[in-house]
Order: sequence, then C-alpha cells, then structure tokens
Amino acid sequence: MKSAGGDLRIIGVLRYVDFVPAFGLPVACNEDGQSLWIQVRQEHSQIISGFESLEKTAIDALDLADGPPVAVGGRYIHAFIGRNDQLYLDTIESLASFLGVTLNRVSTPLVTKLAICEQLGDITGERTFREKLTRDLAQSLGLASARAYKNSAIRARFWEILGRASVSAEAYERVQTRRSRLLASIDDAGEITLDASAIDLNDVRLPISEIASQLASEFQDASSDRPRLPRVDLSSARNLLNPTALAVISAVELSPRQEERVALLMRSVMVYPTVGAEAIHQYRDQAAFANKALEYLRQRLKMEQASESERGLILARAVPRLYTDSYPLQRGKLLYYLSVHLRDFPEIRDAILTALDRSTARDVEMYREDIERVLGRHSVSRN
Amino acid sequence: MPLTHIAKGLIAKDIIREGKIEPKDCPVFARPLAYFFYGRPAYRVAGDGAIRDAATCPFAFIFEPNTIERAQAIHAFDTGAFHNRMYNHVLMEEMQIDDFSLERESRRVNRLVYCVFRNLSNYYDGDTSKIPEPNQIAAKGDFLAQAYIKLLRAEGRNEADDRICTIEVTLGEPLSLDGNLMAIVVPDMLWNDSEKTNWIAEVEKGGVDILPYRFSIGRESGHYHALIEQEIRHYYTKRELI
Repeated sequence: MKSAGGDLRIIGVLRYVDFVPAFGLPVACNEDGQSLWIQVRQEHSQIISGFESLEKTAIDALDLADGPPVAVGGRYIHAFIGRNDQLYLDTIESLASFLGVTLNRVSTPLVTKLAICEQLGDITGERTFREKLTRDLAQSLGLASARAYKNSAIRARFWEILGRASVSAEAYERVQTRRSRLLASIDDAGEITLDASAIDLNDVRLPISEIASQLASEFQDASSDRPRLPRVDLSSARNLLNPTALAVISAVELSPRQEERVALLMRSVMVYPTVGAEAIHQYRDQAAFANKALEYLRQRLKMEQASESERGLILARAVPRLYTDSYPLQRGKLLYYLSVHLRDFPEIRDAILTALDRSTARDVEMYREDIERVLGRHSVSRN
Repeated sequence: MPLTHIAKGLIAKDIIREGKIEPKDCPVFARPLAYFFYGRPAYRVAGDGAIRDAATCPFAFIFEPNTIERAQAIHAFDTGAFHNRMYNHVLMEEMQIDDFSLERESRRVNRLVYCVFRNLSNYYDGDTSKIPEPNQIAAKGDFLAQAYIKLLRAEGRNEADDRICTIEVTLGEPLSLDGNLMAIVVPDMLWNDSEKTNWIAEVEKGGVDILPYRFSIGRESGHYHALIEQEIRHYYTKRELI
C-alpha cells in the first residue's frame, strides 16, 4: 500500500461485472489529476486504511465532476450501479435504504443480492442468497460446482470469524498467514467439518465449538420462512483490536435495531472492558427500550477492573431484566441478538437459554430455532 | 498428483480460447517454457493489494497426473525464486539451479516427497514441521541434499515462501487442455445466475469440473489464493489423489 498524498476525490468507477445492478470499484484521483487510487479498507471494516495506486491504462471512462472526497480514517465509499446504469457513490450506511429496495426486486441477480447482504452485514440474507446460488449452480453445473462454491463461502467465513476473535494483532497475523491450512467444509447433508490445528487455539478467544455453532447457524438449513434480521457487529469499529469508546459507539450506531445496539454494547463490555464500560456510559439511544436497558446496565457496571467472569455474571443477571423490559413483540429479536453477540460467554449464554426456556412469547417462538442453533444446542461434527 | 497452473483471469481467458498453455520465453533458462507445479497451486498472480476485477482474479487449472510424463525438466523448488536469489540465506552462491533438478524422472518426484515430507498430504500443506533433520535422511557429504533440507527447514518462512517446498515442472511444448484438464477453479462473478461466461462454458462441455469460489469485494489476493488452495485440496481428497 502506498501513500496517496494530498486530497483525493472519487472520479469514476470500474465495473467488476458486465450486468447491472451490481457493485463497482470506485477510483479516486489526486487534486493534480496525475495519479489514480483505489481505497483499501481495514479487514472487516468500513474504515479506509490507505490507498493503492492504479495504473491509468486500466481505466476506461472517468468523468465524474462531483465525486465525494475520500481520506484515510474516513468511511469507505461504495459504488453501486443501478439497474438503469445510474451510479450511486456513498457510504454503506447512506446506501442501505436504496440497497434494501434493490434487494427486494425479483430481477436483481442473486450474486448482487449476496454482495449487498455481505456489505450490509446481513448474515441471514447472505445465507438465503448463498443457498439459492448454490442450488442454481447445482442445476446448471452439477453438485461438484455447487459444493465447491458453498465450501469457498464457509471457508471465507471461518477465517473471518477466527480473524475477528484473534486475541492480538500478532495472533491475527498468524491466522491470516495460515488461512490455507485452516480447513472448513460442508457436505451435502449440511455437516460442517472444521480443522484449526494449524494455529494455536489460544490465539483466538472463541472455542472452536462456538465457531462451529456460529457457522452452523449461518450455513445450515436456509429454508426458514422466519423474517430476516439485519445484523452488524463491532468489526466496523475503527482500530478493531484497540478501539476507542467513540469508535465502538460509531459501530453500534450502524445497527437499525435497538435490541442489537444493546447487545453490541454489552459485547463491548466483555471484549474491551474499559472502553466498553465507557461506551455504555457515553452512549444515548433514540429508542425507549434501549435507553432504559442502558440505564440499568450503567448502574450495574460501576465495578472497575472486574474480571471477564465477573463482568459475564453482571451481564448474565441483566438478561432476564432486559427481557422483561423489552416490548412483548420484540422479545424474540432481543434474545436472538443477545445470542448472536454474546454466545461466547458461558454465563450469559446460560442466562439467554434460561430466558428462552421460560418464554412462551409468540415472537420468541418465531426465532427459537435460530437462537438455539446460534447457541449451539444443535450439534455439528468437527475435527 | 495432478499439475497446477495459476493465471490471472485475463490470461486464463486466452488459455481457454486457444485450448492450450503455450510455452513463454523464460529468463531463467533462456528458452520458451510453460510452468506448472506438482500438486500445489503455489504460484501467486498478484501482490498484496486488493483484487480489482475479474481480469486480475486468480484462476487455477488442474491437469491430469500423467501430464508430468511430458516434462522437459523437474526441479525440487521454484526456479524463479532461486534465480531471484530468494534462497541465498541458505544456499551457497556456487550451487546451480540444475543441481536441484530431478531430471525428467517422474518417479523421483514422489520419492522426494515421501523422503522429505513423509506423505502427499504434508507436501500439499507445505508442512515443514515433520521434515527430519538433514543428517537423518541425507549423507553428511551430500551437500546438495543437506542444503535442500536446510532450506525447507529454515526458520522465518512465511506464506509467500511456500514456493520453496513446491516441486516445479516445466514443459517445452504446448499443453492442450483437451484430454488433460481435469478441473478449473474460477471466481463466481464469471459464473452465476446472471453471468455464465461463454469461454468457461466451452471448457465445461468437455467434461471439465468447474469449481467456482466466492468473490467478495475488497479482498486481497492472499484470500483468494487460500480459497483456491483449500478447494484443490478438497478436490484431490474426494478423488483420493492425496
């Protein structure tokens, strides 16, 4: 990666594919118009970490007069080419509504729908469209192609989870370096096989069993007719391994659901103790339940220097209270988001399961299977 | 094991349209050669930057194991890296590329793999942790064998250095895809519900397995290379080639 120097502005887009709608590659230019650059993102993030130069010979048409500026540390600017060839250049948050409409159009190619879900962090949507694409490949090319495709998706996700769960920057580098020996595959019956023997498991803060459960929840059984829940996570926080409270809050604000925002803030307390507690004290939500929940958590999180186990117990005790305080028709979503973001902490996981077992709420029933799968009640084979 | 050939999308398209891999002028041996690797997809098509489009995405061609019988030369490692003096931290200046030639004897390849890596699986993974001490498998006076084993066992290796432990096979004649190509690993942006690229479809009609991998926006080349490496490993395992 090179230093671009000076102010940069998006001046055009390279197309990845010939069809529309689809994402493109935004191309930036210096003020002097002499050099072209593409944005480079931090892994699993929407923050620009630098720029990479692009040879001019590779460009066809670059004529945008009023493209947005881009800078290191700023939000990544996506390019999306609409069905009438119109170009949209903006952050993923600003494009979210438009992409949502595109997602719901029958005519949108499946591969574009999958890319939209990947960029929006909608894991349920990813699963749905990945399954459809896999079926499409199986019909047109046979099972070997479909299997290869699905395996490539589960491998990429496996590495992503391991990378996000790395305990340090050095551990993250080791995961990245050994990706080709971190094996993951899924067979036709949906059985997932993982092999992480190429790394020291102390390098990741999640046990392989939890990762297997998470992958199972994302890759097994896509035939569900339950409503799709959007999802974001803390990975968009700037400087992921050592974020500030502000960076955590910025990541949390990306979630459109208050139940998830609360779950993300609780996770930040577990993963980044000091910064997470600071974020919970600083953050103010627009929604009533979230504010009530955070007020409760602020009172309970005054204990500084608590161990992970102690923090886990505090948050576990908060689960039934949050369940009671949430809107009756949103309780399933609350437990779902708590499961997704806090399943790797045993005390909290047990508290979620207890709340799930005690509940007969209709909304909870709708998500019960998803929650149980996320929490690992369904077994998967692993090496 | 099969032979692999990795190419950027732009080059892969030419290969498929022409139906063969043509030898190209080689600065190392000063004659036209086509390069392959034994089993492993060790060749890297790009640097560390983000993959920009289909033209720069890596494709992997997998050829029938008996293709090695046509080899003009077989070497114990990537000769390009040797030529670029990347092994100089272990190998002496006086050692020449051809000192590490396995000649054109395909049986020597597996003998080397079993002697050094113990099995094909370890070789494919580039797992050097099981390689014995040089003195255990090579005579003390056999300086070349000792140097080769020391090179493989050298500390501080990283992912990009897996070419050290990958056997290189060069052909002096064009290699036709017809009857020799088993499978091709391609990015899904060229093979999905809206785009079924004609030139890939032509290969598929000939009975070649098309193995698409997921292209995700903004990933660096190492990500795709690792996906390809695992998919080929899976492919070999299913066909009991490993």
